[in-house]
Amino acid sequence: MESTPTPPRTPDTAASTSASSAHRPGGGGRPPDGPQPSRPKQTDAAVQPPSSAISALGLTKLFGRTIAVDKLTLHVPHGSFFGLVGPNGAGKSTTISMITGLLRPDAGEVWIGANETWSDPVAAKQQIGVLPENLRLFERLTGAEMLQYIGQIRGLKTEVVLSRRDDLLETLGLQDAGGKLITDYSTGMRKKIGLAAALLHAPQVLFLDEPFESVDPVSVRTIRTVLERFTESGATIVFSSHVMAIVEDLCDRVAVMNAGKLVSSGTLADVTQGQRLEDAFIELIGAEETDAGSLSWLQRSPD
Amino acid sequence: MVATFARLKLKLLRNSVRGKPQDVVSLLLAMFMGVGLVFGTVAAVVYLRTQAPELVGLWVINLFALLSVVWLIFPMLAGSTDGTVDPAKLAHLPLTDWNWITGLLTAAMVGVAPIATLLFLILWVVTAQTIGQGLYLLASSMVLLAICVVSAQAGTAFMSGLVRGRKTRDIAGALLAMFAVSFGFGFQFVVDPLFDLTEAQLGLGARWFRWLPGGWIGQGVAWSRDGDWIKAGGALVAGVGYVAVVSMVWWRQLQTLLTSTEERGGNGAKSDRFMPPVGELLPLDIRTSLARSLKEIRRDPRIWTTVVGQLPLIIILGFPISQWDNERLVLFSGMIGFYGGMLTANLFGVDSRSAWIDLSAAPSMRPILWGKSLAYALLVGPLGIVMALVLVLWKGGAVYMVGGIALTVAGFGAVAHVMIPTSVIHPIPLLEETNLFGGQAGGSVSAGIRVLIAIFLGSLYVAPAAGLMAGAAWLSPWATIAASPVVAVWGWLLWTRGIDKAENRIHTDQSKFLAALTP
Repeated sequence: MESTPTPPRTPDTAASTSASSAHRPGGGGRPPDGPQPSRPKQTDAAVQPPSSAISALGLTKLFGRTIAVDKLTLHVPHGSFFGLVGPNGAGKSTTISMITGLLRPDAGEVWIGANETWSDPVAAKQQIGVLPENLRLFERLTGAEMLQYIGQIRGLKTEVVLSRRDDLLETLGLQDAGGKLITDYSTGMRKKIGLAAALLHAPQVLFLDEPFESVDPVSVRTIRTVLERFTESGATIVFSSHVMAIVEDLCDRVAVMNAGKLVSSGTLADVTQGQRLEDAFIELIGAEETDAGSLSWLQRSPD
Repeated sequence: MVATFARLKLKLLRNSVRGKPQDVVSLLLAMFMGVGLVFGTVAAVVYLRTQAPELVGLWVINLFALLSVVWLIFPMLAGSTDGTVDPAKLAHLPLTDWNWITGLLTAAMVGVAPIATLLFLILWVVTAQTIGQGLYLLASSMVLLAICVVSAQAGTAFMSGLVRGRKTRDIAGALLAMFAVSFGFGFQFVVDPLFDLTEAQLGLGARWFRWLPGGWIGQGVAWSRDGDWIKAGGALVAGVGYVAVVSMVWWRQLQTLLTSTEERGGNGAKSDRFMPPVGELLPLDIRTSLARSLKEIRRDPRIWTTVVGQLPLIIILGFPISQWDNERLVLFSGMIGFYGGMLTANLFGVDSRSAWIDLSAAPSMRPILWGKSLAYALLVGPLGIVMALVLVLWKGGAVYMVGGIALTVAGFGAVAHVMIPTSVIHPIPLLEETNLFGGQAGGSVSAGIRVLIAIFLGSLYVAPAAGLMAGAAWLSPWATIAASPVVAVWGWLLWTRGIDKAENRIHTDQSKFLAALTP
């Protein structure tokens, strides 16, 4: 799709569950019987790209009869470090997969800059780097080889690929492991080589789905440093995590998801309202304290 | 981009030599088999050079058409499309449709099977009488290879899409099982005439086969031999058109597979729904394991491909057996037991994580092994009875049915005796694949070798029971009924012994077992 950028029309940090505009992407799945989300209305505004780095408009996904993501509308401003948080099954990974062109939504549209992901996936994917949660790598390549092939497939010149590859391997502490097959990598090393592959082409937007899960503290520190340096260059990062402390520490903006819907979004201060993020999060999703007394059988008697 | 994909594939193949020993052996054996195919072709074409020129043209049409059909059907039955360059691993990259199609097809053409096929085709050049014919054969070889590869990719991609729903898998599995059984025993009607082909029969085959895509190319070669270059050129253009159209259709299907997930919800699989009445008689731990395994078999499409992938075994075994025109043939329904036993060859590969939980939670792995293998026995049991009934209807000899069922138990026990410990010693962790039929190059060879070893060793173990049954059948049909309990108990004992061996192996070296389960 040829799209012409238009002047900014979206608010700086608009985010709501009401759809501003949406359409059914080509070949979208057939909604089955059962509970149906109300479909967003078609508007002519769909052809106008929003000014944010990322805009998801009325994004909807159903798995069978389950609504995984329900008419989600989200805008991520340029240069922000954006945290997407929510309990298990909230729809965070599904949302990131739909935004990055890895899972076709049943309704809605996604803009990466001036490009709609599902109408012009090539242009959209050129601008982004992705570290998915279920990272699938070529196990029979070495880390260095994988970076080289990814770079070449992305159309980078060989000398650029080799230079960036060496830089990334060194920065991420993988220079010694660069010659080992990925199948022999630990979980932390896999995350780091995945991050290197996502950064290789210096994307404008980086998506990280649970980047710190199962990663040791040293690797967490390394990844954090790399990400902080990346945002200093004006790039945008979106990442999902369960670890509230990391989100609070790194992000300037946060969105909270629950049961497929966006329950809050904005600057960290807006969302937390002076509380710790964890407390605000629990309040927002309406979680209740579990009655520990129900597990009284776990307590041993003194004798 | 095409060159990058080709280099990527070559690198992956080269690095597989740095992998696990069985990967290396599989790749080497695949190459060995490829070389064997090429030498066989050399002998065939040298022989054909001595034949009349008209006959060569007819052979080319028939063989080229059959080749394209084999490339289409075999990967679906044997689950062996080369998915070494898994597109799911590149899905986040900005590739155009053209990049994807040309890149993936190029990668699919770099491998032992396609190169052996190309050599098989190119060797026909020795039958050319002029340089022009030789050049035409070279060009048509490339086009036919592309037809074969794109047909295989499209066929398996469509099958993967089709069997995403559980009910569709059930129906497709039943249909394919019926196909394998009927084809296995009915194959003689197709093959027998091949041993004594006349020119008229070859011509009849060519007349029909030339309508298949491979046949177009064969017909083109025949026309080039006649000097009819316009028609020959048209055949090549048609072949290229087929490749272009099927590539587009295949890529659309692959895109759908890449950007969607398996259907969920709806027809939920409740374990009690699948638990046969006999299950209630089992001890609780085995019953629990059986219920879980039955649920897993229905839910996981990778198990479906394993079950379907072993079906050619029925064809391989069925064909020589069906040559025998005797009512005792009913006893050979026992070969279904061999097929069932083969399914126990990778009990932990599909859900390797559960093995960790089982090992930490269960005091012994014996009930787990019983439950898993029993699930496959229950799956093939009805098939054995159906096959016995079919053979009775075909050849008569209803009295041999009991013996046939006893031999099914013996065959299952004999092969499970070998394969259950194998699934512990050399488990093959299965990865999630976009294309269910895609796998690492050499994977199908590895599975094929397991089949051959299992048939050989299973035959040795089942020999005493089979000998007893054969002796009984020689004495009197009714004696087979008397021998049946002994034969079934023999199979049962072998099965039990296989589970004991596997259990001992796990507990002797737990860490090695768990390490082998890590993909």
